[in-house]
Amino acid sequence: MPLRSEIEPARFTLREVSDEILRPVEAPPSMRYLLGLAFSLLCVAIGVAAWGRQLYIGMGVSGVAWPVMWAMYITCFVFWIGIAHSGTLISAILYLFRAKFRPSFSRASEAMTIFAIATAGLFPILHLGRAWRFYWVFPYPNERRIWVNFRSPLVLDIFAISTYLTVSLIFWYLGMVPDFAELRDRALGWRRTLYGVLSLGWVGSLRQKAPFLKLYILLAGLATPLVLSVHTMVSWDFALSLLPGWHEEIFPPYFVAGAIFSGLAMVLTLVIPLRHFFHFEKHITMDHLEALAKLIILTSSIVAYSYASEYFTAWYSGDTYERTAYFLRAFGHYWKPFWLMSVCNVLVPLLFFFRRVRRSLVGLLVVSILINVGMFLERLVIIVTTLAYSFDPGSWGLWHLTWVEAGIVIGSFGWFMTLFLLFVQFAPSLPMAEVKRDVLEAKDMVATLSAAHLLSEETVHAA
Amino acid sequence: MLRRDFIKASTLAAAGAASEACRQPQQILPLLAPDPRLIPGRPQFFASVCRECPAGCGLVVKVNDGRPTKVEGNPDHPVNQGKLCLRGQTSVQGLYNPDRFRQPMTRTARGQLEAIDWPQGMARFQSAVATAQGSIAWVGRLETGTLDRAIRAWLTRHQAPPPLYYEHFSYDTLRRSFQITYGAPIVPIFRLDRARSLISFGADFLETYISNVEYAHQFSDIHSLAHTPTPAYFLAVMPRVGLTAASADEYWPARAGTEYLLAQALLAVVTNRPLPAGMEQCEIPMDLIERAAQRLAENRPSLVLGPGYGNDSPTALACQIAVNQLNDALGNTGQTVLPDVPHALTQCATQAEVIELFEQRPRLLLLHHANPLYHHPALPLGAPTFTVSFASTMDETTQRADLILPDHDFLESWGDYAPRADAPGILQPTRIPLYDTRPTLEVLGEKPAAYSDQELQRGLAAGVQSAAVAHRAPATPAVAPNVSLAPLPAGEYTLIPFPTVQLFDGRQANRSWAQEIADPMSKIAWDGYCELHPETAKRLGYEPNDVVRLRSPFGTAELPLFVSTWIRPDCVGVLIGQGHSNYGMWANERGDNIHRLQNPAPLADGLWHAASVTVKLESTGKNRPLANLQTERLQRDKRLALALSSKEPEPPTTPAASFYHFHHPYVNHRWGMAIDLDSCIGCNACQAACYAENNIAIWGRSSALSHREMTWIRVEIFEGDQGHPSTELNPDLRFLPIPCQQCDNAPCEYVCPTFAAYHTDEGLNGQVYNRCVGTRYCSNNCIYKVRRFNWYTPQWPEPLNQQLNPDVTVRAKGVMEKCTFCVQRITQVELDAATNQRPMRDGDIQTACEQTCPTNAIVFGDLLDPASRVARLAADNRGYGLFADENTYPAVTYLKKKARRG
Repeated sequence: MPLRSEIEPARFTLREVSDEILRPVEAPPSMRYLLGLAFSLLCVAIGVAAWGRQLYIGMGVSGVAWPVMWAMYITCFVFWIGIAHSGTLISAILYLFRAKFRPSFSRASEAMTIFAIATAGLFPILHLGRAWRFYWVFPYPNERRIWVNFRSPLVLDIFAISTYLTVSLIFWYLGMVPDFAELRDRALGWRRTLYGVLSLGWVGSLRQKAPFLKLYILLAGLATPLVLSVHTMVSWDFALSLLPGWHEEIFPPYFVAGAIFSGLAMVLTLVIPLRHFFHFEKHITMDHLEALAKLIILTSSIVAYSYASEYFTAWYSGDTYERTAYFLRAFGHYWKPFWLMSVCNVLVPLLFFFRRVRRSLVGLLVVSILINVGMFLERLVIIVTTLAYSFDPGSWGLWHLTWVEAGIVIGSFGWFMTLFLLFVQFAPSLPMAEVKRDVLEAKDMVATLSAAHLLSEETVHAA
Repeated sequence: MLRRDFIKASTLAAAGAASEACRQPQQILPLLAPDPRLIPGRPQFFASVCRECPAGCGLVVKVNDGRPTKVEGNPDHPVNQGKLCLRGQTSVQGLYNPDRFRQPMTRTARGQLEAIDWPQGMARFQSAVATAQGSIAWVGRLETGTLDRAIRAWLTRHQAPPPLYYEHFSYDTLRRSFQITYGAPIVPIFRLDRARSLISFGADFLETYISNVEYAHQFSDIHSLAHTPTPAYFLAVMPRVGLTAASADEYWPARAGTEYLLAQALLAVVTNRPLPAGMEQCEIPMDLIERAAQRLAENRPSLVLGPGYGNDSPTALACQIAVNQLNDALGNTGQTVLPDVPHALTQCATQAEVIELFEQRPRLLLLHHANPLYHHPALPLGAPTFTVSFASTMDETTQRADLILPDHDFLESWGDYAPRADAPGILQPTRIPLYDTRPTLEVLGEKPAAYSDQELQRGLAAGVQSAAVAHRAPATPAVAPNVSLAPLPAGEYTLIPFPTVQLFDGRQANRSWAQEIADPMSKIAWDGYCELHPETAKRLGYEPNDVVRLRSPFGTAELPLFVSTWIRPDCVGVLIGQGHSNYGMWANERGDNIHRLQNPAPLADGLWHAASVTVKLESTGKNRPLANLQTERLQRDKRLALALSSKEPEPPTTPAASFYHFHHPYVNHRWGMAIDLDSCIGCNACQAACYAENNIAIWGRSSALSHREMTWIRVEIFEGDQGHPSTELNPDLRFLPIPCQQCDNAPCEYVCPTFAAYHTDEGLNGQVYNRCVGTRYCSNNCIYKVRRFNWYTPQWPEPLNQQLNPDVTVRAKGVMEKCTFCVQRITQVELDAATNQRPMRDGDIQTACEQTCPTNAIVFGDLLDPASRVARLAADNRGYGLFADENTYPAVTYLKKKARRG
């Protein structure tokens, strides 16, 4: 027997699919949308003002201070890079595995990936003491014949992230080409020109479809190892240092799991409102959301294992610096974020073991937001407590949040939301072509099965 | 646009651009016949004498293109032997003090100060002198030699009494006791270097007592394993552990005011006489006293020093007399105590004399670099007294002056000063006067007897003349006065006003280095504070940083609280030197003036005592955070500042063989440093020298509060270690200076994405400021945390920018910096050696910190040269590397402190 999810799309006509998915794009923006956009832009403005102040006066306006030379900015960087992960995971890996619940999220999560990278990419620049010299960390031919230091994890970061951004961007755009073509065909005026350019002359012929699908699966294959590599390299920013609390072999898998964990939570946080406001309930069903919740349980348990492993290793090594660092992480000045993080990332996801929570929109949304908070704090705890309590007790010192730092963090969320809101206004938030393919496949299947009298009357009727 | 218009516009623009170039007319005087000693880009050196305190250390002033940029000790000077303390290092900041007077000023009818020119100023001065009719009082900085003679001659000519040389640390008790014991009221010369055992009953000889650089130098000669195989035993008896007591082998927290009983008891044990009554008040067990007396008797000559400023209690005179008798009984007179060789401080007025003078209300008061109203805020001053001040900057006394005729800074002046007869030093101007100031000698118009040409030339070249001194036989000891100690009233605490090495009596408070470099004991920068024992603070319900109101019978002061175990629970310590109300941009608004708490009048013995009051403590409900640059004072088990084991000698600690063994191939040099923890007294002179040499930025209190101090060599303080925590009788405080360790396998280097941090082929961890983008990863990965980041654009208010060392880059906002081992000095010596085709010798290169270290705790050199001092120290049994097991291969070797005794 086929799965219910496989034949369910047979209920829709292709026309309905197009109308529903393209409604947000073709209809004029609602008041609520415009208010949301204005609010996001206000946040961006706060961030820009804060950064301007920091550029003009110096890093002293941020809370970063000796010996905690990295704090909120690098936390945001790692957080947003982490968010970027599940986008590729859902699009590429689930595509390769032919997971049926994939199409409903893939477009939104790909967009989330791109925008998260675009947000994350700001932080390595704006945390620099001399941000106007940021291009010096790129290996580019220059008249001074100075090359970059390839031993530095920061240079590895540049390669990892720019590769990831490039592949994700192409993958995302490629998936949208057929949808743009449909938009072009339905649009008039400047929109027709815009989508005409964007759709690259797509007509949906078999000659176009065959290489398209080949390229798509190829890119999915390319993007998959990147999910592992990018966050591995980001974790090397810490693991390749000497500091107790950073210098750990477990960091790459720990960071990758953490990134996927936080990314899945962010998908839920974004998709649930999207589904509500744009009435995508038919395409993003409760089953789909529940599948994400199950993945969150898995990744949460990996993260929890990593936490425990860190503490075990610190104790088992007998190394006085490690022991002190981990003790003070939990019981030092920053004990509140540490314990809040532990609750959010280890205990709260356990709620998903209850089916009622998994299938409750409120439950999903609350848990996913708590996980986002927890994962943000996790990066903060790793970065700040390690730097605050390193080798020499005489060099211990604390970091305190300042308004400039908070402003820039607010700005980054505003920037991300702005990009996301523009995306839902200008591009289809669900992969229309794939949904339609599923509809056609389902119709085929229903036709075949009903011809063989293998389906109940109600099912056929519903389809 | 027409061609004509274009040409018009561009001509206008070009003219504008050209006129920009001549906006600031500069006086350029070409040398028609260049001075052969003037080599462009090379500094000149002038010998002079430091006038920051009466110790009179010899100076060598480095002058770059007519600007003095740094002072160093004169190696030929008998007092300081090439070394200088933190205060001496700040003297260039006194010269370039942004708050200096630019020209003479007078008070208008409305009470405001108004700038005038010198002829007007001189006319007013002359008329004031004429109308005073001999009722003239001179209150000035201690002077000897030419200016002293001139002042005396001028005062005699005007039928005025002789000058009162005002030093707040005037050792009145010491002088009175010497009058009683030895028959002459002098401040004597002490010879610590001859002593084989040492007791201090409060004299802070490593901080401010008489001649701290000289004593620090002598103390390390007798007490450090680096300089003697048999270190002398040092016992400190005082109510609070300051920098001096921190170096003690044994510490007695005797009740404040009972020191005289302990001195008398020691005397009694040494001379086999009965103990004084009331010994239980001291709270010191008898066996300790007997052991100390035995040590004194066995290790002769010894030296016993009397009370210092912080415990100048009503019983201080009795204590000092007992100390003198003890010294005499131990045969120290003529050996370590030279009662016939007076220090220049002998000529100071006592505080009582100064107080009396102000109460007489002379018609004309002449102030010469003296600020008595800061130390005695209750003194009357104003009409009918007409006050003329020769001060360089505004201060609490000068602000009430009617006429200000600013003197040159001592670095701009001719002069001479002899702290003692065998060390007469000559001051010479090191630059053209910055402002329209005039030397006071010229204002007075006296022409005193000059030196002979020969004397002058010799003196100018060396900065010091030598003179023979005759010794006299000691006088017979006298009997002790009868004193007793009243019990402490309930709810009251003995006030311990403690001076510090950085602020002295408060005159260095407007130096940003003296403010930024934290107090060596509390590690607090930029603020005055009071100090309480944790038990007391807990009982009273005070938290650190709470502002506490101290109320004495004479006044109140509100000060933030620092909690320290190193003060008796029945005492409250107050830092002196802060609390200025009108002393300049850095000195003002740093808490209340604690001198308001002191008794303004002399006591029954005719002496003014600094620590004669008890205070009540009141909560204010306010809070003022203190910039504490080191909050953790326990080593835990981190193996930072190590000491030898008290058991048998241990093998040298070599790092275990590593799988990742890694060395750079060095060909010519591998620069290294050795720091002897047994010599280091924690005085922070190295920090000040580093600030002066390396153009290190200062952003003030708010930055220090958030740990944004920029020092390249920080001196950490730790209390004992894991196996041997500090005890009350044995503080075992350890100072750990941490410069960049210039690791062979440096964690900072490989993480820098732009190669701003790189390894030089002489083993330095170079930092290319121009290439730094400010990721700050190097600092994160530095396990010693010695890297500093430019949080803001560094600023030096005019004319402080003239102090900048032209050989060192001024760093921009957003770049990382750190200790370079004074690479500019290394390069200079290397270039000189190459130019003159001679090999470099060990000791040719001196880093700024090494150069000034009063105890020679720092040694710099080439580790590749097996004969160099640093290479030998690196292989010393006491040597170890900081965090050596992290595979960084540091170039700095630390030498362990001696094993605990006592």
